Amino acid sequence: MSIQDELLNHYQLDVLAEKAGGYVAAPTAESLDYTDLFFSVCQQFGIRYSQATPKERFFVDEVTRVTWAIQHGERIGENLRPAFSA
Amino acid sequence: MFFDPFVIASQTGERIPVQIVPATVANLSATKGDPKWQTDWSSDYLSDPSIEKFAVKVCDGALIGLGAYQIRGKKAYVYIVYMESAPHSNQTMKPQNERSYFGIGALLIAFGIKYSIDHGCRGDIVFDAKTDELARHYESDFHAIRIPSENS
Repeated sequence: MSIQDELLNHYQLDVLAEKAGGYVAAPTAESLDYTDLFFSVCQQFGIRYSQATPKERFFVDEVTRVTWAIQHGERIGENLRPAFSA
Repeated sequence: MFFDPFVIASQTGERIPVQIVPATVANLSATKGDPKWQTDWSSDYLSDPSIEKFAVKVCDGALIGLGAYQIRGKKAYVYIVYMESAPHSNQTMKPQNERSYFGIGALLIAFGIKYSIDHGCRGDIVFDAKTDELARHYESDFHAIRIPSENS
C-alpha cells in the first residue's frame, strides 16, 4: 500500500468531505436558535446529553421539540403532536 | 498533555507542525484572491464579530486553513460555523494526488474542542455535517453524538 493510500485510509474525513463539497454546512439562524434551546433544556434538567441514557435523551428531545413549536406559534391539538405521544 | 497541532504532508506522510492564530483581515480577504477559496471569508455572514476566525499556518506563514467558531448559549457550547482548507488542500478543488496536506479538517475540529474548553464550554462543540455520510463518519471516528434539529 502506498503512502497516499495509507493516508487516504487514515484521513477518511478528507475523502468524505471531498465527496460532500466540504466538512460542515454553515448553520442557519434557526438551527443556531434551536441548538441554543436544546442546550438550555439540557442545563435546566442537569442532563449531559453525551452521557445521558436513551430515556433522558428522549426527554430532552421532546421538551425541546414542543417548546420550540410553541414558541413559534404552533398549538397542541392543531398541528403540534403533544409531548411523549406517538 | 500539550496541544501540538500538525497536518500531514500528502507526498511523504511527514508531520508538519502548524500554528493556529486569529485570522487577520488580510487572511480573510485572501480567500477572494487567486487562488480563490470555495467561500468568501470576508462575507457579511462570517464578518459577524461574535464569530471568531482562526487561521492555520505552516512555518513559512502560508495559510492552509480557516475555521470560524462562535460561543453560544451563555457559554454552553461552541458552534463550528464553518471550516475550510486552502485551495491547495481543498478536497473539492484539488484531486487527491495533488493535495498538499491531509488532516486539516480533523485539526480544525480538535482546535474547536480546545477553544470550547478555553472558553468555559467544557469542550462541547456543535457543527452541521454537510452530508449524512459525513455525519456517520463523525459519529464513528470522532465519537460525535447526533442532537436534534428543528427538522428532526
